Amino acid sequence: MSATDVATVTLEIDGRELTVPKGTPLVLAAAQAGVEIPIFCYEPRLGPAIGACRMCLVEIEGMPKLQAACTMAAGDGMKVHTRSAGAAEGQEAVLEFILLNHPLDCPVCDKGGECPLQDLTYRYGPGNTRFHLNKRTYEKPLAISPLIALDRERCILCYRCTRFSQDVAQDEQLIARERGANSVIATFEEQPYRGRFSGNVIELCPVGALTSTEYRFKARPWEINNIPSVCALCPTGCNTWATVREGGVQRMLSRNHPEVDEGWLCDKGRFAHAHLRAGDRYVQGLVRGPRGLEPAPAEQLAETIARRLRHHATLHGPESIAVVASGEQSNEEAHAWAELVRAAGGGALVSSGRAGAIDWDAIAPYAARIADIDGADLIVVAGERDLGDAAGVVELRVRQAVRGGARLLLAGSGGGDLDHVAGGRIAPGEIADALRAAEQPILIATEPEAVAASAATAHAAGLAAGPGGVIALPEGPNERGLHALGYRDDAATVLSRGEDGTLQMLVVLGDADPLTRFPAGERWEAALQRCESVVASSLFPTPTALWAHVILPATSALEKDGTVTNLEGRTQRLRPVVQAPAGVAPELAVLTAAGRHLGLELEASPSRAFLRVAKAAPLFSGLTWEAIGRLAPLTGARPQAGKAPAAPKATPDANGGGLRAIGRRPLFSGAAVARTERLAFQRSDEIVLARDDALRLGIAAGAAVTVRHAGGTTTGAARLSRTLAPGAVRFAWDGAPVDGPCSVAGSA
Amino acid sequence: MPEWTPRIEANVLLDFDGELRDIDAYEAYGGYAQLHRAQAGMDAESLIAELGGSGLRGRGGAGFPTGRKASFLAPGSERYLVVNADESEPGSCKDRELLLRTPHALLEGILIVMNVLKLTRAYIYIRGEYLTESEVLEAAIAEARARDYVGAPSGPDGYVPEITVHRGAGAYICGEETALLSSLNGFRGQPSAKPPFPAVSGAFERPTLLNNVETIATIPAIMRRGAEEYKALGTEQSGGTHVMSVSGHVLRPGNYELAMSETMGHLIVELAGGVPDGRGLKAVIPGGASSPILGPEALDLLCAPEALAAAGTMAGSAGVMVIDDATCIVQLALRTAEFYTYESCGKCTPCREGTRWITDTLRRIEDGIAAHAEIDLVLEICDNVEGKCLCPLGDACAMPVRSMIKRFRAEFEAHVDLGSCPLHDSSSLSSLYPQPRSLLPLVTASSA
Repeated sequence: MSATDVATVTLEIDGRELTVPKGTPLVLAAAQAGVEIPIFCYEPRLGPAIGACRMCLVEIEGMPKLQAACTMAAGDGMKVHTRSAGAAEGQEAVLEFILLNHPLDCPVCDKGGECPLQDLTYRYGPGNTRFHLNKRTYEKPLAISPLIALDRERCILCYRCTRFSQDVAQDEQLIARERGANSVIATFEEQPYRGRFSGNVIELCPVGALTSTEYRFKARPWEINNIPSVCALCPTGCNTWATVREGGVQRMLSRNHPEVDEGWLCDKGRFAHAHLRAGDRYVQGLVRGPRGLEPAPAEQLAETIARRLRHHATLHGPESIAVVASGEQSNEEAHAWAELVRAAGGGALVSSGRAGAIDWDAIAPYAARIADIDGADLIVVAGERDLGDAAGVVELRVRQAVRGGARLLLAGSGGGDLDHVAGGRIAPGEIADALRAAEQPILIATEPEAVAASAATAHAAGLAAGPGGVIALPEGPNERGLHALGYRDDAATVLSRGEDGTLQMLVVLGDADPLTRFPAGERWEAALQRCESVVASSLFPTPTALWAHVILPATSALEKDGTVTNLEGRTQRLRPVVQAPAGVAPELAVLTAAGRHLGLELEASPSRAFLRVAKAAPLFSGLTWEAIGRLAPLTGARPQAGKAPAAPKATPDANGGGLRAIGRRPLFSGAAVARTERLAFQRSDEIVLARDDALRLGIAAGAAVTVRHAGGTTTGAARLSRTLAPGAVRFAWDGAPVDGPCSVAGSA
Repeated sequence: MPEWTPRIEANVLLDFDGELRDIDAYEAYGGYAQLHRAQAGMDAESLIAELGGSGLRGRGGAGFPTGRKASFLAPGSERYLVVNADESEPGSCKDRELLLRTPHALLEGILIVMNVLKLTRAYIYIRGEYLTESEVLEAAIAEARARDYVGAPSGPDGYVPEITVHRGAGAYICGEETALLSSLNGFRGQPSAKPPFPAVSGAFERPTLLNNVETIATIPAIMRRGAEEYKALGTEQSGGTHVMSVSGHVLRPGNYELAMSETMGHLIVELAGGVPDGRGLKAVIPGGASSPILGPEALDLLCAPEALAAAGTMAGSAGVMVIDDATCIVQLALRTAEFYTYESCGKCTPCREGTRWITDTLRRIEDGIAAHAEIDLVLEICDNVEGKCLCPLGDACAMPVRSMIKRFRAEFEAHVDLGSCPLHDSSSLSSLYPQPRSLLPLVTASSA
């Protein structure tokens, strides 16, 4: 698009002339001119400006009244004054009004020191108040959820929080109640604010009205350190600030990476850091001796690992060794393990338990970026797992695109959170045609089976040329990085080696344990029992750890330096925000020590280890820590599409006309969430039934229901859905995904 | 229903004798003849020209020329007509009269506009408290439906007009067009910034023509008489007649239809009988509670919007309130401010906070516990509210209060000096504002 295609207007703000695209709000135009216009309610990420707080009043020559700079678009020839006597009078008036009922309890307010109201009062406010009547008082604080406290006296009714709930997350739980001076923020019928993204309202609040219950009264802003990092709890890779005081993470804040998270965080990413301090964390290494697992220093761990690797490689060959990684590891750690195994003589490297090994290289020619969702006209979400469960913040981007006019189709059974904004369901066989017909189609695959099929679908739809393409969600947070580093072996092969006795040494990395997460967990357990050497590396005890000979305590993503690669292939930087417990050595140090026993010179320093990673795979080539920086770019063009990718065999519908259980891991699951008490209320025990099925079975909405399925038994409260496919029964299931026949009984 | 019988001065809009609720009576009187004319092939240009030529100005309060408003309606495959029947301005009850007595005039007007502009559907957003009125309206629509005026193909192109009555839930602010549309669309009834204007994105985000009940109900009368004849009844800038509600201290309160060229004096003294009980006229609020107050000189002004605007007030929604000389203006100001404080929607800061502050300060003045400086404080708060809000509600509070202080300042000062309300024994609003206990003379057993 050439410059002449964009209509522009030229205006003058405080004497500075500038040219901006037509339709630019005056607030943004002023910012471009280096002029600050004070704002409270204006927040472009929440949708069109609403002009509620009136803080941004400015004087425009030729207009009799002051105008709100957020709702007023820049006009050609406009002469705007933001600090004239008239404008200042308006700004002072509004601040005086806002402060009438706002308690001046800044010394004991958590927002104090990082409060826009404080800052703007300092800069624009009247030095005095003429109000000497009683201030409005309310009961406070109100826990609108276990995560969020509401102080209605401090609330200035900017409606940022309700707009987030209603327009961005669309969970429609926060509302304004009553009217006029009695307006208050509330939830419906005092129910807690449940939702994947509720914590964002704390950050959006321009005053201390919505505060985090975990951070209340913890620290003053001038006695904390905010350290930039990225969240490694899912493959989205949202950028974060970790607030640190007294050596501990006190809270997590978003750090807007426009191409990744747009400044949003899910509640898992925001609150689950409590797991760092959980009581059952491994705080020292353990090696099994005559009297069971006994504490072992790092050097002993390294030596044991090296000895056992060499032993099995020499005696039983490379097929006897396998590393199964959950994807929670940094690229540097994963690469060190891979090099270690290779140095010993070789072994299998596994990064995913389902759908065979996913060939990310086959998807690469069709891969879209998260930000490509913005311009999409058609979005197809394939896979039974809810998008928001697999990659929370990506869901917000899809919702935003749908609000902008994109059509959303679900290639699954439905019944999830996107149903009410979706245009309907689409059969898998029709996806390619629908994508081909669209201008900028996006296919999002939420789970391995759908990911495995996505390349063939994208090829059939002709998506190689773009715009648009495939956004495939790995299961593990850093699965993309691990795959690039050679973790490409099929879990099923390793399992069969375990069952026939070939497998002798199994290294299980991470808290996402194959015994509970992989299909056929009981077979994995049997295989484990036959292994002579089991090494488990995790933060917390896992089922595998029961069989382990060596337990290598892990460090959390908030405790290590290194890189992780998100679902797009964007490599971002982790930073050691806090120190690991005293007895926990960095994995890289242990692995480097182990390498020495094998005659391998690894790098214990993350920055030097990254140099080896950068050379190891094309995905990282050319990257340096400087290039990654704080807002990591997505480098590299799409590779040329080669021959048609093979479509996976269609799995036969084992349903047989009966009810089909669909159990998937919810967002609020996993080792970190399980150790964050405050998040417990977010777990839903909903069992979603198609309305007609429920009526046939005589199950009413809200009734207690028991589902018996291949994975076990699930009980919960029935929710009846008009959009869930008939026959499907959907529920949250933390173990390996459940997909098969089931029986459903309502308990009277 | 004799209590609503209008005093008809100019037989244009209320061009009949007695009740015309019944469709047979309305048709016998010539009703729906103009609809047939419109259906026979009237195009948008000629309707807009007719409305423009009649000098008809919107009767909802802003007085915007109706023909020009119709010409702004954006093209689109789905377009709506929304009739604003959320009549809530204190002092105004003209639309209620029309809804009860001549619902078919409104329906005919709606159907004319819909047929000519080919609008998808009409919504009548009626004030929630108007229960009987909505029942009458629904019954009239059922009658019109039985005659195939509604819900059946009309005209050669098979166009089917539909009308839906939507009852509000009791918010004054929903009379403001963007708040009305927000409420109609299923959201909280709060105003929003313009643009987008309703003519581009209104009901269900489609182009929407939004008019007041009286405006639409006048259209058949204009077509019957012809634009020129209608216009000649009024002034150069404001054509025709209008219905004015007179309340307060007059002998015969009620709704009166009269020509725009008549004076307020004619309305108040001759039609409504003037101030009773030998009292003097102290003030006139000419256009509903939000219009700035006038003194007795109001009697010499024309009723037309431009004449009232020239006098520093506004015709608003034609709710004329007459105030006698026994009335306490501080109480009147307080009552006015209380209303707008109660009805402020809470969306924008100056209105939400300012109206309450004005009310609380006025109450202190009325109670006799305020300092002199607080009178000027009220004026300053009014300045900080007016022109700084998202919608006109804040102005609607600030303008009348300011005008009352400016015109009757001595009375406010007297409250402060006296430490109580000097007119408390005579003012008809006093029952709302009992004096603080400590200021009442003490009556003890020994003194009795």
